[in-house]
Amino acid sequence: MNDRTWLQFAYWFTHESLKIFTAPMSVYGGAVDAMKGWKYSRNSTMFWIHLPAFLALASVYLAYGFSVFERKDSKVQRYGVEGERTLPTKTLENIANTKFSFLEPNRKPATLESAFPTERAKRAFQFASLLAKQVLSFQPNSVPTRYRLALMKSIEGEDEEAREIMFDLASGDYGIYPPASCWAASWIIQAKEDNREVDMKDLGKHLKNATSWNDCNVKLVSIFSMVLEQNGLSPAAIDVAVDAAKRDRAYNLQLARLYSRINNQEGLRQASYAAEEFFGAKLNTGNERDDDRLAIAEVRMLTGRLPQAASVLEEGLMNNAKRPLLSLMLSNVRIAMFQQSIVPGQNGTMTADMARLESAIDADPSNPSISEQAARLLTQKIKPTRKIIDALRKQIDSGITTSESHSLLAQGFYLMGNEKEAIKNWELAIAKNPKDSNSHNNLAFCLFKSASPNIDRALQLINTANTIAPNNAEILDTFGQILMAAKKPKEAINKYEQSIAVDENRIETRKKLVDAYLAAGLNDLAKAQKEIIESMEPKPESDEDTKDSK
Amino acid sequence: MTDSIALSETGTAVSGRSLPSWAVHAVTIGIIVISLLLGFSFWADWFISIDRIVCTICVAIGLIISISKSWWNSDQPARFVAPCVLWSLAVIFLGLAITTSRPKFYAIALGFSVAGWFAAQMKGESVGNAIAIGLAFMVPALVRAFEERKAFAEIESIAVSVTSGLADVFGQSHYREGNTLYFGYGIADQFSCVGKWDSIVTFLGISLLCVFAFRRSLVSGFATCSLAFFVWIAVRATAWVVLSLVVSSTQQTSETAPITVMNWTFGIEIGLFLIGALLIISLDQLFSSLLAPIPVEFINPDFPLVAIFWNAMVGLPSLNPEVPSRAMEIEDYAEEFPV
Repeated sequence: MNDRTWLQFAYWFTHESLKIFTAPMSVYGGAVDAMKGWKYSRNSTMFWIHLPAFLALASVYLAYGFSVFERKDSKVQRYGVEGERTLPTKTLENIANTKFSFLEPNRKPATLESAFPTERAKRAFQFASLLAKQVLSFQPNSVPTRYRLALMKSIEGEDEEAREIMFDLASGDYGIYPPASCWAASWIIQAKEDNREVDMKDLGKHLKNATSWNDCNVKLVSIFSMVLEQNGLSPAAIDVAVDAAKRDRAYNLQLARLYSRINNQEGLRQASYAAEEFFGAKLNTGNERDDDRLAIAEVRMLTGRLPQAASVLEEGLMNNAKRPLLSLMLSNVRIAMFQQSIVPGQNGTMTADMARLESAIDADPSNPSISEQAARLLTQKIKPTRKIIDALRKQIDSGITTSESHSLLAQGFYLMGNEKEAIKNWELAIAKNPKDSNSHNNLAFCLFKSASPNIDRALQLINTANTIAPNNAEILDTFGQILMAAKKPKEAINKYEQSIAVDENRIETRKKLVDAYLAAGLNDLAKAQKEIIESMEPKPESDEDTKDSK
Repeated sequence: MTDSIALSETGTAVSGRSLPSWAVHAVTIGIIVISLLLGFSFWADWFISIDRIVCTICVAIGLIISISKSWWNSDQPARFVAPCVLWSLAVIFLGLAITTSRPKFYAIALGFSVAGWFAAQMKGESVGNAIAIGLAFMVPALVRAFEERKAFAEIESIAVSVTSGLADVFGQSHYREGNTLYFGYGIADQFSCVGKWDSIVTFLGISLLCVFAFRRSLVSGFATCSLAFFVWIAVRATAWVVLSLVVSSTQQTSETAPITVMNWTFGIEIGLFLIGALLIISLDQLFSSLLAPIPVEFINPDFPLVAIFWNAMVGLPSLNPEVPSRAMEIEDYAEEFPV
C-alpha cells in the first residue's frame, strides 16, 4: 500500500469518524437503522429534538429505580436519625414522664399544647410521629420506634394505646428493652398511687429490666430496692440500693435506712457517712434547704447520734424559727431521746425523763407523736407532767391525734378500768383509721365482755375486723367467742377452726372449740379435740401472751 | 379531499353488492340515536367532569385531523361485508347493554356503528382505519372499565410508590398511608387519577390526539397511549418532590411558609397539564420515528430479513398513494458514488 492510499484511508477514516461529532444524527442513522436493515441513514434531526423529553422521563424512573434498590435497613436508619434529630427520644421521655407524679411531684402533667406551644414545635412533633410511622412501615416490629411512638401517644393523651404498646414491648417478646420496662413499671406504680385497679404481678420483672438501664430514673431503682426488701430479698435489695446510691449520692440516705432496718452496722456506717458528706456539702454551698438538713438529722438518728441530730436542726431553726419541717423533725428527735430515757424503775415500774418530752412539745406542739407518747405513758403506768397532759388535751381538742394515740389511750383506760373512756377512744381510733383491725377487735371484745354487753354491735365490729384482716388468729378467736355469746355455736366452730388453722398452737382457742362442739352436740369431735389438747399441754404461757396483747 | 389514484392493478371490477347511501346513514344514525338515548345517564356522567371534557375535546380534534387526512374515494369496490359485520357487532352490544345493564356497552355499540359508517363510506382507506376511528368513541367505555376494575387505583398506587421513591432519593422524608403521602411540615397529598386538570384522563386525551392526528400504527399508537400513564406518574411525582424541597428549604426561615407554598393550586395543575402534554407530544414523535416501518424501496437487499420482521411488527408504511413506488435503480448508487 503506497503513501497515497494510506493518506486516502486516513482521510476517509477521519471524515467518517468526525461524522459522529459533526453530524450527531448519523450516530442513530448509522447504528440503529443499519441494524434494522435501512439501506440509507434517515435524517434523524427529529430524534435529537425529541430525545430530551425521553431523557427527562427516563431520569425520573431511573431515580425511582435507585430508591427501589436502596437497602431497607439504610432507609430505616436514615428515617431513625432524622426522627431523633427532629425530636430526641430523651426529650419525649422527659415530657411523657411528667404524667408519673411520683417520679416528678413538682411538675404538672404535660399535654401536647403545653409541651409544644408554638406552631413550629407542633409541626416538629407531627413530623417526628410521621417518621416513626414510616420506619414502622419498613420494620413493623422496630422496638425503639414503637417506643418513640408510644411516648408520643402518651403525650397526645392516647394513654390506652400507649400502655398497650409499652406493655407489649416490656413483655420480653422482643427481647429486653429497658426504657419500655421503665415506663411500664412507672405506670404500675402510678396506678397504685392513684388507687386504680392494677395487676402488680409483673412489677418486679419490669423493675429488674428497667434498672439494668443506666438512664433509668433513680427513684425507680430505689423503689425496686424497697420491693425486694418487702419480699424478703434483703441482699438483693442492698445491691440495688447501692446501685441507686452510685447513680445519685442522695440515695445513700435510703441505703442507710435499709441497713438500719436489717441491722447491718458496717453498711449503715458507710452509707450514713456518704449521705452526711453529700448533704453536708450541699449545706456548705450556702444554699440552705430543709431537705438537706432533714437528711443529715435522719442519718444521725439512724446511727444513734441523737444530740448531733438535734443540734443540726436547732442550728437551722436558729436563723429562721418558722421552718415547720425542721421543727417537726426536732420534735421527733427529742421524742426518740425521751424514749431512750424510759427505763425500768424500782418495784417493776417504769421511769422516764419527762423534760425531754416537754422539750419535744416546745419544738413542735402539733406533732401527733407527742400524744402517742403521752398515751403510751398511760399504758406503761407512768405519770405524765401537767405540761404533757395539757399538750395531749390540746391535740385531742384540735383533732390532730392519730388513731394509734386513741388506741393506746383506750388500752390505758381499759387497763385502769375506765370502760366508758376506753370505748370512746376506740371509737375515735376507728373513726380516724377505719382500717385499724386491732381497734375493731379490741372494741368488739370490750363490748362483748362489758357488764351490759352489746352483742349486735360487737358482731358487726368483729365482722369488719375479720374482713380487714381475714387471717388473724386473734380476731377469729374473738369472733368465735362473740358468736358463742350470740348462741351461734356452728358458726363459732367455723371461726375457731379457722383460727386454729392459722395458728395450731392456740390451746385456749382449742378449749373454746371443745365447748362449741359440745354446745352443737358434736361430742365425738369434742372428744377428739380434747385428746389433742392433752397431747399439747402444758403450754399456758402463749395463751396468756395473746390475752395481754388484747 | 384529494382524488384517489388507483394503486392496484386488479382494482377495476366493481362488486354487484353495495349499500345505498341512505341505508348506510339510516342504520348508523339509528344505532347512534338508540345508544345515546338508552345510555343517556352514561353519557351525562361522562361529561360531568372537567378532565373528561378536556379528553373529549382532544380526541375530537384528533379525529377531525385524522378524517381530514383520509382518502374517501378510490376505485376500490364499495364494501358490504365489513360495515354489516360492524353494525351487527353494534347491535349485539346494544342488546348486551340492555340485557346486562352495562351502560358502557352503549359506547362500544356507538363506536362500532361509526366504524361501520366509515367502512362503508371511506373507500380509499382500510377497514382498520375505520375501526380506529370507531375506537375513539369507545374511550368512555375504556375509562369506565378502568374504574370498574380498579385499574386507576392500581395506577395511583404505582404513582405513590414512584413519588415515595423519588422523595427518598432527594432526602425528603415522608410517610405513606394507602395512596396518601404525608411529607411532614403540613404537606399531604391524596393521589387521584381522575377529577383534576392533571388527571390521567386528560393525559390520555392528549395521547389519543397524537394517535389520531398523526395516524399512528397499532404499535406506535399503543406506545403513545401508554405514555399517558408514564408521563402522568412522572410529572406528578416530580412536582410533589420539588414542592416538598421548596417547602423544606423555606421552612428553615419562615414560620408560615409551608402553608402558603404547599397549596396544590389551579395554576400548578394547569402548568403540570401543559408540561405533560408537551412531553407526550414530544415522546410520541420520538417513538413514532423509532417505530417507523421501512419502505420497501429503502430496504437493504443484502440484509432484508430484519427489516421484513420489523415491518411485520410495527405495521406497513402508509405511503401517500400519490407517490408511486418505484423500483431500485442502479443510478441511485451511481449518483452517490461516481466511479
